[in-house]
Amino acid sequence: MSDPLELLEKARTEAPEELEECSSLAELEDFRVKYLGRNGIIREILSNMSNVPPEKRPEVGKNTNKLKNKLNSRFESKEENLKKQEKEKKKKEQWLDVTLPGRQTRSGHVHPIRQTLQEIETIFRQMGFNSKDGPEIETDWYNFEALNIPKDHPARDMHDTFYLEDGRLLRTHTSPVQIHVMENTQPPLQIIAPGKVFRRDADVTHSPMFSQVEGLWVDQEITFSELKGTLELFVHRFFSEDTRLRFRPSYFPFTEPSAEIDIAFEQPGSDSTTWLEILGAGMVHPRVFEAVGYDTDRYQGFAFGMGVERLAMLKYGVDNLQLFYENDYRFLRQF
Amino acid sequence: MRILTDWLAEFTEIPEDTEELAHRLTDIGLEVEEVIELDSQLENVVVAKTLQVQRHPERNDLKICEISSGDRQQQVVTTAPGVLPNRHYLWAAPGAKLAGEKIEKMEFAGTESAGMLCSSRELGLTTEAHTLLEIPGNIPPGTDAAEVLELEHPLLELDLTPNRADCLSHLGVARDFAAAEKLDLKDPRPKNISGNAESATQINIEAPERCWAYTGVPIKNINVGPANFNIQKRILKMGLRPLNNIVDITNYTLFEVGHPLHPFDADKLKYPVVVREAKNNEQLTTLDDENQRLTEDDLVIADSEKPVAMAGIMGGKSTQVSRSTDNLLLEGAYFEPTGIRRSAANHKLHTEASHRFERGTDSENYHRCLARCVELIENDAQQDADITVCQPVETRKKNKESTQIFFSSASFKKLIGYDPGQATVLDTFKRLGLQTEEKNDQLTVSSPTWRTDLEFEEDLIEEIVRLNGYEEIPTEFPEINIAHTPHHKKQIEEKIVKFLAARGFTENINFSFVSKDDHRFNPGEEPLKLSNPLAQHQSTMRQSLLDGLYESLAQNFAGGEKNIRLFEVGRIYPAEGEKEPLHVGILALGQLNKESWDNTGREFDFYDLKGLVSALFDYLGYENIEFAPANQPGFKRERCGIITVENNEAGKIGEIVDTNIDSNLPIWGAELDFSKLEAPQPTNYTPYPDKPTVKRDLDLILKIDQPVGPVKETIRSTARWLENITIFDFYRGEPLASDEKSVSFNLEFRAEDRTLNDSEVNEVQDEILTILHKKYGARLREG
Repeated sequence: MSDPLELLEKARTEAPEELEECSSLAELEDFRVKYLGRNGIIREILSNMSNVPPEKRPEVGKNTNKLKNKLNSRFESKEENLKKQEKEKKKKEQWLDVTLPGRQTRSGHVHPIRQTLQEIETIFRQMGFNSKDGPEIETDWYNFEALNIPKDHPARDMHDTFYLEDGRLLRTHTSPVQIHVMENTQPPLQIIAPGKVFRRDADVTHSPMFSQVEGLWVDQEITFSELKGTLELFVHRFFSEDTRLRFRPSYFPFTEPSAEIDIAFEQPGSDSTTWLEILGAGMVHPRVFEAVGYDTDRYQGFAFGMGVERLAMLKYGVDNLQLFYENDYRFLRQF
Repeated sequence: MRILTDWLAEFTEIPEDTEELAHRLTDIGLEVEEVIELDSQLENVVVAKTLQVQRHPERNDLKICEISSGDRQQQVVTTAPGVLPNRHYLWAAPGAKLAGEKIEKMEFAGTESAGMLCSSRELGLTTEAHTLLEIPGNIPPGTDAAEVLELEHPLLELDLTPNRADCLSHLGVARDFAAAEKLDLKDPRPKNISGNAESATQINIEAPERCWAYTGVPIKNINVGPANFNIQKRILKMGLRPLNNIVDITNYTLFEVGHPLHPFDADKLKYPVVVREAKNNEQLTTLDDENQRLTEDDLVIADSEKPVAMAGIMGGKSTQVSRSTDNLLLEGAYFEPTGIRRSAANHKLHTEASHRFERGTDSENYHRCLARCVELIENDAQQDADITVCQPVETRKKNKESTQIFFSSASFKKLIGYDPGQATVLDTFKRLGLQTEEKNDQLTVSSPTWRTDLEFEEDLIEEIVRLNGYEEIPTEFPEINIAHTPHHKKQIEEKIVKFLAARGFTENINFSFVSKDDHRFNPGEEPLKLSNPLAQHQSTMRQSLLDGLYESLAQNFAGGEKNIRLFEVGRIYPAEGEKEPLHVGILALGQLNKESWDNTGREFDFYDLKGLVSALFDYLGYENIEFAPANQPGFKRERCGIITVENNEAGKIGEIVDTNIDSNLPIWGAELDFSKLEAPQPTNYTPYPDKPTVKRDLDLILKIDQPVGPVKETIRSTARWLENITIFDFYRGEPLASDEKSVSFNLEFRAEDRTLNDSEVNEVQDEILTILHKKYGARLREG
């Protein structure tokens, strides 16, 4: 059992020094337990007062309380200081460098032809067109005959056709989808048919496989005026409101009258306008309606078709058609 | 087809600005593809006279020519055959521009050549030529080539649509242009063939359906030599090589008036001339020196012994007009289009004549063309006074039925959307040469003989629209009265694309045809073959998307990409079974993520791909996505498997055999087949459970080669109240035996109606352990 007097003397000299030396809240807590805790030295002195000669008790008691108060108050200010210090330290430790790069996953890209197709389809869907598709391997009937392109007709020269050994062919345009749909549906109908088409042609401006979007609107009173309105709306939405269109006469065996549609393309750095062909269209030829068994006195309508690559080239400023089918990362990652 | 602007101007007034002319022609449906300025292609090319021509001392194929261009003499070496002294040719001096290219001093077998003497091909006029272009002697040396050839008039390259056979000549284009522009057509009618001398010519038509009419004009005592230079110049600018006066004049007439004619050397014919179908296996050597084996599909002109020409396509060698020809039979005829087309296509021939006949020529008025040709031959400078044009011999079996088309303004308004007014209609028809008869509100219209394309009322409507401009038509938007029907397949396709792109994959679009040597993912399945591929590596239809994707991966890898993620969504074309099923192909190679500063990177592996595929099906709304080991062609053995979705085959997955890039890292691939999957049902909301779950972890020790899938499946199928099962740890090594592994499962149990208590779950757990022990020898890992 220690002598309270000795304890007090020792504490009076050592405690303030120890307190001063505490450099963290953990050390401070150790200090508190040692001197001010439930089993701390102050408590020990006070509970062993019976070992102090009675005449010295009041003084020891007084001095002990004095020490206790002194330590308490110093403890508090020390604690406050240390808390402040530790907060500062933590703040420094937790500083986050937001400029370091994130852990990056790879980025993917949707093919520009698909993006263009999606945009075209969205515009036409908003106009009420329904999407349809048809086979890419076709018979002569769907690709040619039913579209008023009989065998031994020079219009077949407009289509360099790939044939399969079994006599079928790769469709040269998306127009056969018109026939499939009309064979199975009575008017009114309003469809678009996006898809791949194939022509036996490969050079700087041709690819043996490319994409088209076909459109067909058949009802009792659909006119050429409305064909103009529909295509103008499309062009304005796809390009811009001020894009100028030019309709000029052309020939497709499955439409009459037929037209090709150019848009005005202002050459950068020159005030001359170039007209670029982007669409073919016309009023559905009565022979096509006959082929699918429609009443030609009752129904009429228009059809149009566009090459998606050309539109994508204009939209994205791509100057080489071949890029679309080379699938080079350096090209695709730009989209 | 080419149109020479100066030739066109002979028939109607044309704008001075050729671009403007091109624009206006395009506006009436005669599309001008290109305006060609020939004179801009030539510089410093002049006439030179050959003074001496000597054989090169060392090389037989070379000639050394001393030439004079007026003020100076030069030495030029040429390879052209038939070069003669004292002739005038065109000479490109060193520094000259020829077809846009600069000519330098050259050396042939040690002999210096100051520039070159030119053929029509080198001048940029024709695509073939092997002799030099000879210039008449009256044009002095030193004269500029552009002046000699009159190159200051631009050419138009027209891309005519196949319905406009009437515009396949200068007169035809002028006629349509004049009609559209309300101009006069200058139509200098040639005088009728006045010949009345008798001849022994006899002509029979034995195939009246294919040859409606045939006219032969015998011309006696002709001289064959070079054509008048003015005719040669035009022939050259049309892209043909001048041959002789007779052939050149027939071609000239063709380009001017549009009807193909053919000259025979009459002395080589044994009358009667017969137009008939060929007999099978009859033979004929045509002017291109090809031996044609004929069939009944071919129409021929024959004499009493043998075929002498393929009607409407190409003449025969044996009756060809040559320098020694004295007497001529000039043919004008009408051949039916589809037969000519079939025959020409069968023989892979496409000539100026067949091009026109198959598009439809003027069956009634080809005589005008014949008359023009005879006129030009009679006026030809080579001819003597004793040239005799005999009476034409004509056989006609059939006439064009005059087609009458009814037209009403009401029909026009109904189809086009506005009323142009009767005056405009009548005026348009008149300008086009259409005859009209008015009755009530309807017109009966008959078209001129040269317009074989007008058949329906719609055709007449188009003519009105064409000549009056599409801008006259008002612009309206139709009323929509059609319901929207969603396209489920397309919606799924678009979701797949979005999902994979968002997960770092880049979409490819590969050609649908691949080499016959591809198909390594479908060996033994015979692919669909193209009968006329463009190239051998595009000769069969793809049966897998992985062939094309692998090719693309290999090319990108060669281009320096080491971390590749590709996908394609597209159809394949198997010969058997489902038609054109929609597939999704995926390939991955390299590091999972981009390189990071904290070194957390790792390689993309099988489980990344499997997770991706599972998540994709889950995202699309499919359930029960299973993977089972099964070797697949094109994949590494024991490193691949099949995917089933809701018990339907849905694809394959694994490590692709790397055939040529040697990447050192595995190439992971999957091909998903959506054709056997039903479209997922739209979500039908069910209230989610509100009772708490009870969770248990099971650390199981299994044999090292025991697949985990079936173990998991066994737990799932035996455990009552089991809601969720996940594998959260996998371990091999100490302190386990070397043939063991431990797999940790986390199980979540839930009853719908109450909170489960521990003892209930313990019971279920014990049951699971007993079954797993029996089935797989599994036991719980201690501690």
